[in-house]
Amino acid sequence: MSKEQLSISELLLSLDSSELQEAEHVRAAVNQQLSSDRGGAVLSALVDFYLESWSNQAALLLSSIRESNHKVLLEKLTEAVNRPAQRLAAVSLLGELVRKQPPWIHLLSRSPLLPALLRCLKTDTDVVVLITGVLVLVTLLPMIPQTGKQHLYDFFDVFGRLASWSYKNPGNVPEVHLLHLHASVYSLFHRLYGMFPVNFISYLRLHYSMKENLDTFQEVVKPMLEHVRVHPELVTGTQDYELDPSRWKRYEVHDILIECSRLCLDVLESSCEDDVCSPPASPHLNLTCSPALTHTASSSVSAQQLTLRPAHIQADDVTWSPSMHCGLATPPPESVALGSVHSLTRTTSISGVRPPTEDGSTQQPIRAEQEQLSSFQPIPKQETRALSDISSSSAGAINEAPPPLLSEPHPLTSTPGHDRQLSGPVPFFTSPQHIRWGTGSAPSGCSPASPYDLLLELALPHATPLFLRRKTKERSEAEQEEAWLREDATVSPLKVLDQLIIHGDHAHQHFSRRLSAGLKSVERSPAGGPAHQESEFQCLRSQLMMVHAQLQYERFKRQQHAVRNRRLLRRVINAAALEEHSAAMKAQLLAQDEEIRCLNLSLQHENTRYVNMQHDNNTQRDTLQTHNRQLLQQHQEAQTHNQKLQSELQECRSQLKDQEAELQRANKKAYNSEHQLSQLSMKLSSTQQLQQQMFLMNQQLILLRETNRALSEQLDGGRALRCTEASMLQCSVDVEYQQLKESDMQLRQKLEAANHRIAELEDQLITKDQLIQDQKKLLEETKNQSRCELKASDSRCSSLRKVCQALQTEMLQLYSEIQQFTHTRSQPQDVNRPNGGGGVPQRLRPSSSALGVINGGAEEPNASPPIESPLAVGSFLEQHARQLFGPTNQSPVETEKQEEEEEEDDPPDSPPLGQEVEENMLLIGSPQADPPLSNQSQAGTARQRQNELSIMDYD
Amino acid sequence: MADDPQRNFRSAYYEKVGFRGVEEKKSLEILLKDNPLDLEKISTFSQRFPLPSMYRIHVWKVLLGVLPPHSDSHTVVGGYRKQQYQDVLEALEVMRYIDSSTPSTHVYLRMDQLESQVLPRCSDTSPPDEENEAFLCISRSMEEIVDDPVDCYWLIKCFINQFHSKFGDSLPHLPKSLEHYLSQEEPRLLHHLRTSGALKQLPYSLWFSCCFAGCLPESSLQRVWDKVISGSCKILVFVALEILLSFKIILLGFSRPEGVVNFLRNIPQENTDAIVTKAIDLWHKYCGTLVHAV
Repeated sequence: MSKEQLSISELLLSLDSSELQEAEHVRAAVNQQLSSDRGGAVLSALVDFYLESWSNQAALLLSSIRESNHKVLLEKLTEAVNRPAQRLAAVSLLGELVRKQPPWIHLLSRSPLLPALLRCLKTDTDVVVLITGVLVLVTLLPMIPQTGKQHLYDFFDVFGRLASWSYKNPGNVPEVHLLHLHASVYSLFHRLYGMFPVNFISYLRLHYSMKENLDTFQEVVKPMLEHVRVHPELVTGTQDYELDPSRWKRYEVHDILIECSRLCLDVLESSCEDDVCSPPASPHLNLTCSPALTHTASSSVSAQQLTLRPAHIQADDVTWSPSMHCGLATPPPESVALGSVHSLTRTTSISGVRPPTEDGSTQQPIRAEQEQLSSFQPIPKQETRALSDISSSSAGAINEAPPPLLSEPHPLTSTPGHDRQLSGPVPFFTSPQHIRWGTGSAPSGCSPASPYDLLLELALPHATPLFLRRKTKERSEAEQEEAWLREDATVSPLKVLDQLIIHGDHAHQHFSRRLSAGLKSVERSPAGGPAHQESEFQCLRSQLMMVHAQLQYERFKRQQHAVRNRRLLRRVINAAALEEHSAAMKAQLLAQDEEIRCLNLSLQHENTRYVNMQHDNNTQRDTLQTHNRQLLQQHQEAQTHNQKLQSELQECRSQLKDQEAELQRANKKAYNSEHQLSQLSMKLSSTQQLQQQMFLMNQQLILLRETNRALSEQLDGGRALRCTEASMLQCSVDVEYQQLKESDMQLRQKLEAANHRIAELEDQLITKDQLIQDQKKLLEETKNQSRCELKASDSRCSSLRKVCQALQTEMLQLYSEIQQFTHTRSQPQDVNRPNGGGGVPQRLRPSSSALGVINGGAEEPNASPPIESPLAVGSFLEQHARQLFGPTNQSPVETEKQEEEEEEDDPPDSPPLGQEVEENMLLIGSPQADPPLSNQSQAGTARQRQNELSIMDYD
Repeated sequence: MADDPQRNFRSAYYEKVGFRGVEEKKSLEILLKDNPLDLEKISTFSQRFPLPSMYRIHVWKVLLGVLPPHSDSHTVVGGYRKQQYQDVLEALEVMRYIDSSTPSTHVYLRMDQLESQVLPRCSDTSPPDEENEAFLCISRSMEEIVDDPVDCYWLIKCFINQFHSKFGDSLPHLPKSLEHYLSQEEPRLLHHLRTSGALKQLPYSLWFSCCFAGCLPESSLQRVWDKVISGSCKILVFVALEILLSFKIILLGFSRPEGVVNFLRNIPQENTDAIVTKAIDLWHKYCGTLVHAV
């Protein structure tokens, strides 16, 4: 640690070495150590180093520390501020830091450093410390506007104390110091009034209402109040609103600065930017309708914005120029920064090469202004003379007086000597007043030469001459106003300070001359008393320090103005671009207007053509309409004519019809008459015939009458004879008639009787028929019944026959067996055959009743003697005959035999045979008389036959 | 006969309850009171309704011609029939074709043979052939139905004669007709029978030649014969069809034709009444109540 400390202290010692490279190297090393520093040892060492040596390099290094280290730094500074020995160095270091605006600057408000500083300002009696502190405070205030709430009354107290201090001068500090103090209080006043007007005014009211402060107010504060205009916040704002931190959020540091300076009436303190918000600007802004007017407006706006520029640029130039041109013996405060600024201005000058054609135009008014302004030159000279006594002690050896500076405006606008021209008008001690004065004396020659003006000219070539003209006018007005102010109002403290410093130049020259003469005779001291050399030096050093502080403060202001200017330039460029754009738009508009005009023209042309065509059309239409009307009329006439003709035609037709009807009527009449005529002719002919007939009839009548007469004569003759004859005939006829009537009656009666009879007979017939029918039905039924029965019996018969056949076959079989048996056994047995044969039937006989009947019937023939006949054997007919006529002449055996033979020979013949027999029997006519040998079958067949016959009878 | 509404109601009521034949009996009595019996009406009645058993023999005799339609001559004709029977019987006895030990069916057979003149010689009495077998079957059943041997003989004789004269021509067509109805009622069974080959071997002779004599018990058989005697042989087809349908499941179980034939030759005797009833219904369904359906 100690080693490191050592190395750091060594490093720091070599920091301010004259070797640039070494210093650079050391600075880099310290920076490295600072970045790696933990406990803040390096930082505190660096701070200590600065406090001891006031090294600029150390201040630079400290201002570039990182935010993390700020706490240590602030603590260190607080500590140093609280120590009276190191207070001045600490405050100046703080001023350095604040002016650099490190990012941690806002933390300052909360750190104990600020109260410490305020306390110091309230208590300290050292003027240098006070001035430095006040200027630091003034610088610091726009950066931490939100702290006003806590420390506002501290600020006011500081102001009150310093104001009274500068008036009463309790510490008996030299007058020069008081001037400085007054100037810084003046700055503080402006700052406070600009930032917190309501609170400040109320404070002033409170504070200076007290009797003991009244004279201070009269002497110090009142002149200050004369230099400010009424703050608008005094009308609208309240105390609380002023302290609201949100109010400052929109503002940057330079905004606040400008805001404050805007309220200032003092030309030296205030900015000319007031016009931006002043009423004259607004009409220009409104006049954007015509192209010519917009040009002027833009130029005027830019002019107003740029009015401040000369001052700033000059201030900028001041940083590098003073000693070179003034021949000042004091070493340049920032020799390092000097070269860089030089190069910068060169580059700007190179870039701002102007065409020669414009030079002339710009130069002419400038010269005019110079001539105009030359009349003001005596005033500064007088003032310098007046103040030369005061500043003679402080001003160092100034080799070159303002006159050569003022005499140099002519080559201002020429590019080669640009730097010089810019630096030319700058006085030795830079201050706004001086710049102001410089611009006034070397009027606006520097303003067009400023880089911003060059840029402006490049951006707006048309506007520049206008701007310049306007600016010069303003300038002259401002000068006049200034002059008026100088006569009427109290002189601004800044002005006084300015004069003091200017005269300090002369004093310096004088002093240096005296020094060079032998350093013995110091005739005058600023205090006016017998000056001790040492104290004089001390006083001068403090004064220098005060001036330095002032200078630093002014530089800070300049920087802020530069920042603002850059922003404004950007706006100008934007505005220019917009203007270009609007110009282009205007050109377009013009073109379109042209086009519209052309179109309007063509439209008119078309309109005329259209009107012509319409006219033609109308005329044509009219003619056509008239023609049409004529035609219509003709048509109507034709129509009426036609109608007339039609009606005539109708009439003719009706006439024709009437005539036709008449004709028909006539025809009809003719026909009728014709018909009547023919009828009449017919009637005539018939009448003629009738007449003829009448004639004939008359003749006949006559004839008949004649004959009648003849006949009546005859009749009269033979009437009696004829009467008898007639009566007789009549009688006979009557008789006859009667007779005929009677006979007729009889006949009728007979007829009726016969009819009755017929009806009866018919009834009988019907009943008979009915009966017959019934009988027939009955008969049928009976027949059916009997047929059925017969069928049954028939079937029985047939079955019987079949039985018989079966029996016979059986029998025959048995016989054959017997025969075989006998044949095979012996002959003698053959003799016994009849017995044996008789035995067999006998054995069979009881078994069958039928056979019994046959046998019974056969017993009689057996008893009778057999008839021998030739026909007996083999003859069928004979057998039959025997059977029929000789019932006893056949043995039953034979009969059986015969039957068997018959059946064996030809069985199918048996029924016809039977029928034959029956027929034979019928022919004979006595079947009942026959012996009952006919077997039952025969009887059945016979009966059947009979039945059939009977049926046939009925059918 | 159907004019009386009360009777109509009663008959309808009986029909509803399930008694059939109550009214028929009276109708039949009325029919039988006519002096010349109307054979047409009686046969129609017999086809349409079941015959009461007390009149069955009489109706059969009338329909088969054993007795004439005139009731006056019934006794006479009955006497004739009896004499004929006795004559033939005696003749057979004389010829020693039969004796007391001979079974009555054989006696009837011999008698019929004698009457139709086909009696074989006593020496070569061959065993009865197929025709005789049908006769024997029918006579066996008839013997059960009829008590009087004379009536029995005559009924057998007339039944067979009438059957052969009337339906002799249509007998060969009955199997085809059976097939046809079976295909309509149960084609599956027909298919089975056809595929198994049993269709050709069905006991057609037992069914159609013997008219189910020996196949059905007499109580059922007489109802079938009612229809046959009254003039329809189609009933035989339906009885056969109904037998097949009733034992369908069992028949479908047989795969060999012999099994089918054996089963059908000896069908169980329990449910035959139902079979016959169903068969008659089926017959009515297919042939309607046609009077002279053949």
